[in-house]
Amino acid sequence: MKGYWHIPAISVVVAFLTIYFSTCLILFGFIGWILWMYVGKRLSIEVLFASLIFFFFFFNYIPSVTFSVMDYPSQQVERTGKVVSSIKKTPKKIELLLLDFQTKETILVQYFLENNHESLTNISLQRGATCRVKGKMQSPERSTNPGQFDYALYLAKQNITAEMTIASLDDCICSGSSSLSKIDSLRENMQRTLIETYEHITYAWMNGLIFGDDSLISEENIELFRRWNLSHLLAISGLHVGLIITILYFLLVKTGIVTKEKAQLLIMLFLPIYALIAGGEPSVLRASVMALLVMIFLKMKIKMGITDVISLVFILFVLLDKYIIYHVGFQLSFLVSFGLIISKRWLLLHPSFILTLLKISFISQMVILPVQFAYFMQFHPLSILLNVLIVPYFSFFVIPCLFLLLILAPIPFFREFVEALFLQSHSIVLRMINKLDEFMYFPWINGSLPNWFVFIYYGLLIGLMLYMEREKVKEAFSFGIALTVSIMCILIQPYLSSYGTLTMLDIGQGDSFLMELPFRKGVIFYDVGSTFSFEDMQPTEQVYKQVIKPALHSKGVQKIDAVFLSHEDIDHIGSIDFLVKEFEVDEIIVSEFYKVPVKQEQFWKEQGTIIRYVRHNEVISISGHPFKVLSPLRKTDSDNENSLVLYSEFGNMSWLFTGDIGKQTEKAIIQQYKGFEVDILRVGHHGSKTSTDSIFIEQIEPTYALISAGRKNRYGHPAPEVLDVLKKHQLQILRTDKDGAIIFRYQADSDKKGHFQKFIP
Amino acid sequence: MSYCLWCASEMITETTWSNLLSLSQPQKLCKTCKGKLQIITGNRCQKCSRESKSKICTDCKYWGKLLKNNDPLEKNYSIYSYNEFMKEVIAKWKYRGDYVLVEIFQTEFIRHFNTYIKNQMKEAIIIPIPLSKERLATRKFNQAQALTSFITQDKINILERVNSEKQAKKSRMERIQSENPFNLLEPINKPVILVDDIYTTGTTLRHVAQILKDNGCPSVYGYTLIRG
Repeated sequence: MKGYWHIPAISVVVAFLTIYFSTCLILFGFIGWILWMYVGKRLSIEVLFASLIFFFFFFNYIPSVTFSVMDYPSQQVERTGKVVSSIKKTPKKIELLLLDFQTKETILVQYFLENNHESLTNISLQRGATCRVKGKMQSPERSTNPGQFDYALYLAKQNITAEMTIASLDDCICSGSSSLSKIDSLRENMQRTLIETYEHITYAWMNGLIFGDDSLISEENIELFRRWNLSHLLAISGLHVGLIITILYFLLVKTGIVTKEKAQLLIMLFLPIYALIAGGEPSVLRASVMALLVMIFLKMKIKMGITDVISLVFILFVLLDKYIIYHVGFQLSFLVSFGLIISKRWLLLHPSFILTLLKISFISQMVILPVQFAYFMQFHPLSILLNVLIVPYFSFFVIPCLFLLLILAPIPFFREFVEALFLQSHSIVLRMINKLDEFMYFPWINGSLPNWFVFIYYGLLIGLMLYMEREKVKEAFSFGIALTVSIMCILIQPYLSSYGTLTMLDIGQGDSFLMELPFRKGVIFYDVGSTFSFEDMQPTEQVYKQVIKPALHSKGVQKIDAVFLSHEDIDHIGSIDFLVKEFEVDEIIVSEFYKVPVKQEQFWKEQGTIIRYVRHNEVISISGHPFKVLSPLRKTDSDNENSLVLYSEFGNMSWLFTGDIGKQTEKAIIQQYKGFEVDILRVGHHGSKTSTDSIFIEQIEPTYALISAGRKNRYGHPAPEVLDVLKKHQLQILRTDKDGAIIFRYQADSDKKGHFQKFIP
Repeated sequence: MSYCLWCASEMITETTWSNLLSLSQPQKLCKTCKGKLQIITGNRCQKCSRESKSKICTDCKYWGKLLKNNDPLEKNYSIYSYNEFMKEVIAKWKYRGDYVLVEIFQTEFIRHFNTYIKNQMKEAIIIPIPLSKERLATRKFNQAQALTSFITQDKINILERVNSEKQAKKSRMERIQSENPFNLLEPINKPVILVDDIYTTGTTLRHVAQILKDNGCPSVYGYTLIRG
């Protein structure tokens, strides 16, 4: 078996993929491969059998992710169970996992902090405690839009199927604790001391890089790191563990405190504790357990290849926690480590510091590229180069510096000196990355790569690496070109596709309609609403960040040709500034009666966006696609009635976009344009009873009615009266609050009509 | 678990990109021992495979003079050079009878045959150089026969060796001038590849080649493990 443990480990991955994609193809491929290897006398019978046994065991062992949307009562309920996680505290909330004794479900219990200074002294709340918790139960939210993060799926992958929100920490009555809670409280005490000793920024980075909790690092920096594929530095992994072992060993042995043997023993004892203090995420657990195993094998004089060690740790982890294989951090950590381990021979060819760093950075990014696209929808090629600079900066300066600060915490003068040094250099480096981000951010943006392509990708990558390793430059170059070209082909796919798509996004109570013309000739919005905070009536970023931006990224859109804004309400235009800031928006089109605030106008101009004012009867062509303006006919006192009403045709069907117009404008329109009919009506004002007159429907005779309204919204949209009118005229009703995003797909230059699809089937 | 055939240390296959998809063949020697075997690379004599800067080495020039440019052997191809480590391995294998050590050479013996010889001579018949009956009785195996068994091309045993004096115990001059100890049992009219373990002076191969050619064989080549 020695030297071949990665094959049973691969069979565990195959079992997982078979379950996840519910297809046997991968299994057939795998069995074909190992049989072929066995026949060719490259694989022994024991490895063959072990692999098959591991497959069948883990095929039955790894659970598939299932949802059960429950209807929980709206009043408070009481649940009793055991705390099975550490108590996670962030500036906004406190979270823990409760395993319900009765129902056996894992519940995510959360308490939202009213303000940052609230004292949190429920001491009995500890890992392993038995708790009686009172709160409101709810099912986690599912994704209702293309590209949107699926929170319910994310929790289901951790076997969490319910959420409970508690109003006060006093609603948790707990007793007992597990022995692990001692490490939790040690961790917490350390954190409390440090937070009092150091400045907020210093502590935020210490908290991230020593305790594995990046919740205090500013969102801009987290986003910046994500954009430049540097996020791995924020996850404690092999890099940190390696550094700690080195530092500890050096301190213990070189100072002559203990012998080498004792130092090794001490490190072996320290590693598991460190893993837990560092937050216990899969990446730090993997690195610690691997280091521990290597040291044990060394001590016992057992010769073991490093691929065997990582494979054994992998199998062990899945055995201990059958849900862990769904964890993003787990997947990334094992993929990168395995990739680096099998590149050892290549890394050792002509070693030089910079070249080796470049190779490491290259392999790390390439082996996770498909996973990167699946989870983050973007990859930035230049980040491979930036990593070469930033990784050594973190390894040789930031992390040692932060550990030094941890040790120096009780010594006033020294710690202040080191802290000043850290803050100074760190702000310079972050400023440098920010500058780069301004001028050199050219990411590849795309949703998940197609599954078939992932196989081609890894095939080409293996080919490339194989020839690099054998120093066959010509062959390696061809594979490198093939790899790049194949990714390019995927990225330009929208430009070759003859299909156009219209998506009424589900942004809750508001409107946002996305139109993509065939061959990516144009990307157009009709309204980009947002929610607003009731305190200052300002738009919030939530809808943009959670719905609009991911939808665009999942489709690989970076440039928007035009945005029609129907009228001034936040639920229709609230996200426009965020959109203009982060995407290239060519023009914003509004009615002649729309009043753009001076400041906003200036901001749009700065970002290179033109404003166009249009009036009724005008025909506007966006990338060759015509839109006719039907209204406003005349200026009224109401913003709603002044809404920009558009008529256009997609997929051999005629569409009417109505903004928030009321019955008065509807009448004016049918008087102005006699005998005009449409197939698809985007129902005015979210289905409010002030719109959608029966006469209006009679005249224009639509087949479909599209309604964008929030789930259980406070306005009661869509109104029952409106639904009655629509039903009476036998319209097919599609609504975002029930169906999620409404997607219409059509083919260019085809006689066929397009067809509708609901995001929630 | 597998162990090095020479030093008996435990061997663990290292997984790299090269053997990720197509797993590597089980190895017979550990990395260190394998590194001590020296495969002939770079410039070599076109005729006898000896490491040499000139196209034809001094040995072969001497043969040319001696045989008046009527050399019965067309060409010899060898894989390894005869360094100290190889001498130890051969001694243990051949003279102390550790038969299994032949497996050390299996992969390379097949690979070099397939890359450098097979394509040019698909028609050729393989003939291992025989031992005399007495020698075979003491050694219990013929090293040339053992090597030949790795190759799948057609092979026949149509030779017999009468003289039983050990070549290795003779001086160079004695070898070159010794009488031809081989008998041919039946004539052959196809090209022949002779297989032996070591090409030292080339006398053995030439003795056999002469007999074969005298009996109608069109051309004779040598494929030997080591160029001494």
